[in-house]
Amino acid sequence: MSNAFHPDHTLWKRLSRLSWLGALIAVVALWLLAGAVTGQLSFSFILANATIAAFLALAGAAQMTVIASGPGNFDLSLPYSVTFAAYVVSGGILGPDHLLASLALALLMGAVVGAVNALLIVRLRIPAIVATLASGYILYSFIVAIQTRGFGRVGGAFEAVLRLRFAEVSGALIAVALTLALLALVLRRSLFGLHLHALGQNADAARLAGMRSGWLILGTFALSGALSAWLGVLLAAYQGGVSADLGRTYLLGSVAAVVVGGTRISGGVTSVIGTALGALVLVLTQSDLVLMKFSIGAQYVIQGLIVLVTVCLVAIRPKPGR
Amino acid sequence: MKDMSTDQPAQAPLISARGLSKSFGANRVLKEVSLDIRAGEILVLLGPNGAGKSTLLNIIGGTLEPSEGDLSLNGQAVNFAAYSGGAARGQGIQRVFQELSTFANLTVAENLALTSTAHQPRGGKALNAAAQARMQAFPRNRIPVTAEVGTLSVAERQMVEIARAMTEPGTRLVILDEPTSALSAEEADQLADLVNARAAEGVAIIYVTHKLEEALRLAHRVVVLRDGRLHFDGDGRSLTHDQVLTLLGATPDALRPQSPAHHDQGDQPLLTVTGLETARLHDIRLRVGAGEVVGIAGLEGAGQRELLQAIFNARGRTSGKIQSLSDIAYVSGDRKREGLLPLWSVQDNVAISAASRFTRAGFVQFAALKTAVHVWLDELGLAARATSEITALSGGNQQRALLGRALASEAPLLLLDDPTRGVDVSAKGAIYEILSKLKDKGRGAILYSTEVAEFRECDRVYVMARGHVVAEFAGTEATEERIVQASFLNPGGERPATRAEAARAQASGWLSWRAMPAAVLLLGMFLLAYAQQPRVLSPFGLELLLQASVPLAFAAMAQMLFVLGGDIDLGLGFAVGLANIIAATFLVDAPLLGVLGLVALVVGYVLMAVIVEVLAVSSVVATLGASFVWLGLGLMIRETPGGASPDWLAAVAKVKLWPLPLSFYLLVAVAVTGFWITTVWRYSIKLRALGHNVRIYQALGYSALRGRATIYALAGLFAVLAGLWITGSTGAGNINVAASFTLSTVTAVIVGGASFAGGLVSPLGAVMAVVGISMITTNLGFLGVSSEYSTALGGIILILALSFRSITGQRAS
Repeated sequence: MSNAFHPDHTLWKRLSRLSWLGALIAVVALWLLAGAVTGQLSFSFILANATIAAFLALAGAAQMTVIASGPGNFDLSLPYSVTFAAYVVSGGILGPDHLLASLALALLMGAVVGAVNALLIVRLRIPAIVATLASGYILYSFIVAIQTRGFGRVGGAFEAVLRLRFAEVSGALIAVALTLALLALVLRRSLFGLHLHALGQNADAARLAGMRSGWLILGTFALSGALSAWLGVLLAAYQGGVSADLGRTYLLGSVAAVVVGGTRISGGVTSVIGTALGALVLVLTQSDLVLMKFSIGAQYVIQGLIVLVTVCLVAIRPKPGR
Repeated sequence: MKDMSTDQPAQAPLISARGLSKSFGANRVLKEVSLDIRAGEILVLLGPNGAGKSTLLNIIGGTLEPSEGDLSLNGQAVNFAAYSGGAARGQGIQRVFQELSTFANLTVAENLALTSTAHQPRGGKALNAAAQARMQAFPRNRIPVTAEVGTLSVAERQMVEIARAMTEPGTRLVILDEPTSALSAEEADQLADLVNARAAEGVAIIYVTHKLEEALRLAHRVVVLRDGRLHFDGDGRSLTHDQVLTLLGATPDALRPQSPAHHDQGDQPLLTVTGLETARLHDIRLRVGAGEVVGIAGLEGAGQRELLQAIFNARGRTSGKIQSLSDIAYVSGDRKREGLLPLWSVQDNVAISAASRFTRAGFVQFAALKTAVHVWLDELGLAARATSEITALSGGNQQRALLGRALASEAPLLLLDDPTRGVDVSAKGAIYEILSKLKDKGRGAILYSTEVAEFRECDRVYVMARGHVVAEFAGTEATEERIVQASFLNPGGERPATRAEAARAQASGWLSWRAMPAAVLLLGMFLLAYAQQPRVLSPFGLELLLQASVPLAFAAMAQMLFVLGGDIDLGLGFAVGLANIIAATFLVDAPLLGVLGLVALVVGYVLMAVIVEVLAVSSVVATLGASFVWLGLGLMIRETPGGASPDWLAAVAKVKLWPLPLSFYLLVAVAVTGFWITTVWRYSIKLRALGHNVRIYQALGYSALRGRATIYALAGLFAVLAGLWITGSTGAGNINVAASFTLSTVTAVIVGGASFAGGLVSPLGAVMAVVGISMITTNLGFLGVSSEYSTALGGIILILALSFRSITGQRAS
């Protein structure tokens, strides 16, 4: 290809390779729409929604890590990991007076759930979606068991920091942003991240290139489980309470955020930015629809159509190199 | 070269090809081939790998469209736009694929019936009898026609494949691509008889083989392709073994004397294999020294790949049958499946194996890695393409990049698995050059190739036959004649056919019943309930136990159909809820609108099938997206639970039957209907084939879209039935009423015996699992345990059922 003759072509090609470009455009459009509806265009509209979007983005990032590990890999236990961790950090196991220990335990348990998933997948050769379904069921019963024990509000300095606002930016938003930045660093720069992307593209090729795929799957699900747990911790502290339904919306939401972010879901691709933008699109859409007084039902229909349309667009987008 | 003696008495050719060419990108694999094939003729097609044989056959068989040229069947010009594998079969062209195209999840009889265009006998018995008769193509075979093909040995699968093509009535041309690669001598003889008999009946045969004896024995006519061109077309009956070797380009003068250079370095072997035994390998002994390239020759499928894989899996192990002091790199000629990382550039594809050496504290030093990789790319002559997508390269350059990956790993030993497959001559030269440089650096390699000429580059050659190493030639001893001759040795006597039969015998016991875990669960739950409360077996008790299972059973059939197609429906719960809402809201006051709404829901399912099949979108995402839509629509129609059931529906739900409650009969009816759809229905064989392997299904010329749309439409119908039943029994509409169904139906279907890989389901098992799982809650209640633990038990049962299946050797995934 002679780039000199087709400079525009190249620019277009480069832009079209930014998988999250569509999501970014959608964010701007939704912002403008909100401005038109309310009659005032203010950046604080985005910031006001950003914290909720951040939580969804974190769930999406956990799901994305699993999705990247291979075609057909999804984590259905994610919502239960979120809720379980929220109860643990609220003192459901260690009691209300050991915040730091509870926090560490919550994250550890998240990673352990991920490791159990990986064990089922690698050792018993159970498809990821079924393995995580089964472990999710088991986790749900733990949640029910823990629910009946005493637990309290996380409170204290932790809650205060998350709720603190620096120029309309919440502490929770900053915490999620730092987490996502760290995750992006791991995925982009570490050997684990490199191998994960190779595994997701072609598991046989990865194995024959000398990678230990079993350990990679273990690492992937443990990482995803820990991220889900971290989301549960943040939610418990930020919202100041826990319920058994805390994680429920994140099952659909996490996959939707990845899809709307423009990331291919057939494995081997991650985009933390895309997933964050995808989450923002979904949350802003809902806010816009509320502003425009759409019913809750219409909000769901439109969100569903957004997911379906994006996934179709991603599918028909010409793949690089063809 | 053109031998004029083929001119036979005037007879219109059955197939006439004129100037067929085919290019893949810049790679021209078939160049202006013209060929006539007459009825009753056995045409043996020879040529080295990559000569264009498969391409030519794919064009004739309808699975590939030529870039240029014409084809006519019976004097009628073929319109390629409308010519498919199915159309070719309609014209009486049958094909035996090299990569077997039978479906492992179907029985032998079903596989035979699948592609048959002839009138099909109805019912299992007639189907089996017809299959039995067709399998007599191989007299005295011990293949039960009721066995799933997945339980057969490779040879038996090949026999089924051959019988399928050779016994179809109305056949005018049979294409056999390497049909005897796994057959025993007796079976190969039977095939030869069959081929001769069919030819005598006027059926034309195209026979592709690498085995020269076989070619000479059968051929009326020999056609040789080389480098995509027609190299020879002449009478096969007067050809000698040596002449054919010459035609294939294996002239004795092409053999170069070998330099016995590195033999002194052999003291410190990179690899020693002593007495390796596996299912397909027997008493393998070999060693590779530093700076040595060792060849593994033999007929295709003699165990070479298994050997390479076994060696690779034992890398770094210093004890046991395989000892290697070093790391090992693997280069596969099956680039697409086992080599390429298709989303990455050339340099990333090469760098991946070196990355671990440039890692500090877990993080890769990309700058240093890139520099190192560019040294390799320079050496491979790929520096200019470093940032190209790997998929944009030609096959030869892709292979060079993959060799580069192996080199970049700095592993002292390379395993080369048919590395020149489908690569043109100049690229081959480049690959050899890399090999010889490698030797100079003291690294070793094992080269497996299907082309005898390749072993010129080797210091030593081991020849394999039937899983044994039957000969070892060093240096100049390794002539092509000797290698070819040794390939046909028959060590260890007749192939032990007993293994597959023993496995079958074991699998045919009660353990093989896929629904066993569900049956055990159901029985256990009933016994437990009866022990606690004997009145559960009274009609009223049964009704209480079973009535909650009815809507779930309907929904489970919907989920089961998705799993049959290799998919999953994560929107099912809300779809059932939406059907419930539509029924409870409209059926009383505006029945027409209600019916239209329910039909629209089924249409929605068909639309999902289009998205999943045509756009190749994962069903998980499509149904997740749809679940938002179902939920939203339900809330739009009715935000809070309410509405009413039409009287007739409520009356149906309250029907009293004798002696058992209505629920029982309904559950049986659901299972029977499911069984009819997945087993008895004539289309069911195709649906199961589609679910098991879409690629083969389409290669056979069937519409995957039609099949998937059928599956989804039926699933939508069952979702509607579940919603209707809930309306009738509760008298209200509630979008969340079935939200838990989504995941519980997946559990029931899998515990019931379905394989998540698709194509294998058990409706009876699914219904039994539905009842069994719903009774967990009842029993926990009897035992005084919180019912919340029933979900945990559901999860544990799911894991146990899948573990049971992987222990008893059933295909779980």
